Order: sequence, then structure tokens, then C-alpha cells
Amino acid sequence: MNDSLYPSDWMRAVLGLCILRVLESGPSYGYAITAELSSAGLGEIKGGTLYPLLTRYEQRGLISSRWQAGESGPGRKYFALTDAGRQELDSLRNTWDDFSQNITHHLHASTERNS
Amino acid sequence: MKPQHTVLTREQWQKENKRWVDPFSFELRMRNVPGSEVGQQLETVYSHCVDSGETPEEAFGKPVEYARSLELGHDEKARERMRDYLPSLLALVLFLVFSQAVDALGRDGAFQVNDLMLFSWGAVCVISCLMIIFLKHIVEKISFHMAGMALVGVLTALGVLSTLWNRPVLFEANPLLVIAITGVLIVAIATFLTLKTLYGPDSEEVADIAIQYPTDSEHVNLKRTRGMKTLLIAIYWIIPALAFIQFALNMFVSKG
Repeated sequence: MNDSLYPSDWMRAVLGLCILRVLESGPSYGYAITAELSSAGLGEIKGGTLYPLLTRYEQRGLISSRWQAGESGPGRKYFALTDAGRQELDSLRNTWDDFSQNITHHLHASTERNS
Repeated sequence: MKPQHTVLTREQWQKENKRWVDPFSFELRMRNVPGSEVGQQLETVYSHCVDSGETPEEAFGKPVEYARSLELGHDEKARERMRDYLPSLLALVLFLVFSQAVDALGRDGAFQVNDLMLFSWGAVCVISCLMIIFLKHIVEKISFHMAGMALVGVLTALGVLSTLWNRPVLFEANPLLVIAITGVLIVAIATFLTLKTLYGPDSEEVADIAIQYPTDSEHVNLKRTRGMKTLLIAIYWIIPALAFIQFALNMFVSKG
């Protein structure tokens, strides 16, 4: 899936959320999305992982797409967040904050048991 | 990732990566994905590979698995495929009967049918049906050419056997009558399929078999669609054309 330092099942769980976050900054195309995710420390995301997710999000109406012809090469498919996608991102971000706080709290809590 | 400096055109790139592109397109086709969507997916892979400098296998993994992971279309049911191919199969069987009648007419004899002939015509139906039902497996595991050659081999053997082996005649008829009936039916089937392709309720769907690329002009894509319709219609008329040629040749030889 990728060359990330993190376990691949963690990556699978958060990749969609991270893609929506990348698109929050504006429309982007596949390779640029993988580059941005890579520079955010998520490792190298392969096209075979990225595009099926983008296709599913497009079918769910979370993102829209348009093709732009290339000047001296192939065209590029630009993906943009829709209103539904923005709402989904907000909701997932809040859930993630809750979840990560709980997990962090749990992992760093005292190891002594109350008996 | 190593960016590619010399940008290949789509055609060059597809030629270079034929071993990945062909099974990928085929899997999408077998899932009834429209040509416009196949074109988009191919363009996406091409674009990503040019940007990343990777081969399709490196970036997307195995072509069939990647095509399935997109969850597009649906697996074409054998029944749907049979419905599409049934008129052509019927035309093929009619052509075999027509051919036998033309042969009888050339010999100035009666059109005679024995059990072996009936068996060989039945075998054509059964083998063709099996090929249609297991089309995907045949292409994936055996190769269509080998299956086609096996079919031709079996039919030739049965044809030769039914002619040489003097089996009792089950029924006979006037060859001209058989030629007229089967000829009309063959032409009627080709006409029906042609009209269906041009004006039928799913004529747009038929046209969407042609791969259309999102970055090509509407004119180019329209040309591809028209080309696909023309090709389909030409295929429908192969059997009537063969029947006509066989009849004309037979008449020419018998009169000469």
C-alpha cells in the first residue's frame, strides 16, 4: 500500500480522511495528492490505493471531478471537495479528535489498577 | 518515484504497457463498464504513470485486481451474454443448414439430413453456448484463438464424418426451398441486429462500447462511436455475405 512507518491497517483507516483534508485546500489531481500525503509523513501512497478510494468518494458525492487537457502530455483529473464532502470532513475530524484524545489518554494513563 | 522525462503519447504508452492495459480494459469490459468510463480509467492510469515515472504494475498492482478494486459496473451474467449472442448463434446454425442445401443443389440432389449432421449442428450450438458462458475463463486461461481453433477442428471433423460416413437419411427436402427459407432468415437476423444497433432502445449503450477518452474532443469520440457501430454492423453481415458468396460460387461452378 505505502512505504509509511505506520502499520498499513492504520493507514487504511485514516487515508480517506487525509485525502479529504488535502482537497480542503483546493482541487488537486492524483499524483499531487500522493505527493502532499507523502510530505505530510504518510509515506508513499500507491495509485492502486488512492484511485479506488477517490472513485468511491465520487460515487458517494463527497468529491467531484473534471478533466483538464495537458499541454504536452496526458490530461489530468482534478478532484474537488463538494459541500457534502466538506461536511463529512468536519464530522470525521471531530470524531478523530475525540478518538485520538481517548486513545492517547488511555495509552498514557496510570498502569496501576484500583482494586 | 522517478519522474519520466520523455512523455510518451497515449498510444505509445499503451503499446509499451500492452500486457497491463489489455487485461485491465478487458476486465472492465467484462463487468459491463461503459466505454467512456473505461477511457477515463485508462487515462487516469496513463496520467499517473507519466507523473510518477512508475510502470502501471508498480503504481497499480495487478491489472485485474485493480480493475475489480474500482468496483465499477457489474459482472456480466451468462444469461445476459446469451441474450446478446443468441441471434448470431441462430444465424450460424442457419448458415450450416444453408451451406448443406447449397451443396445438395450443386450436386443436383435432395437436401438430406442424417443423425450425424443433426449431431454436428447440435454440437455447434452447445460448444458456442459454452464459449459464450465461459468467455471470461477462456480468454483468461486458454486464449480465445485456441478455443476458436478447437471449435473449427471439431466442426470440420464432424462435417467430414457426416459426409463420408453413409448414415441413414432421417428426412429430405427440396434444396431450393431450404436455401430460400434459411437465406431469408439469415438476412432477417442481420437486418434485425443492424436496426437494433442503429435505433434500438440500447443503441446508445451499444455505441458506448467504444473507448472514449475524456481529454479527446467530442468530434474524435463521436468518430470512435460511429466506427464501433459500423464495425458491429459489418460483423452482423459476415454470415449473409458468406452465404451469398457460397451460393454464387456454387451456381457458377455447376453452370460452368
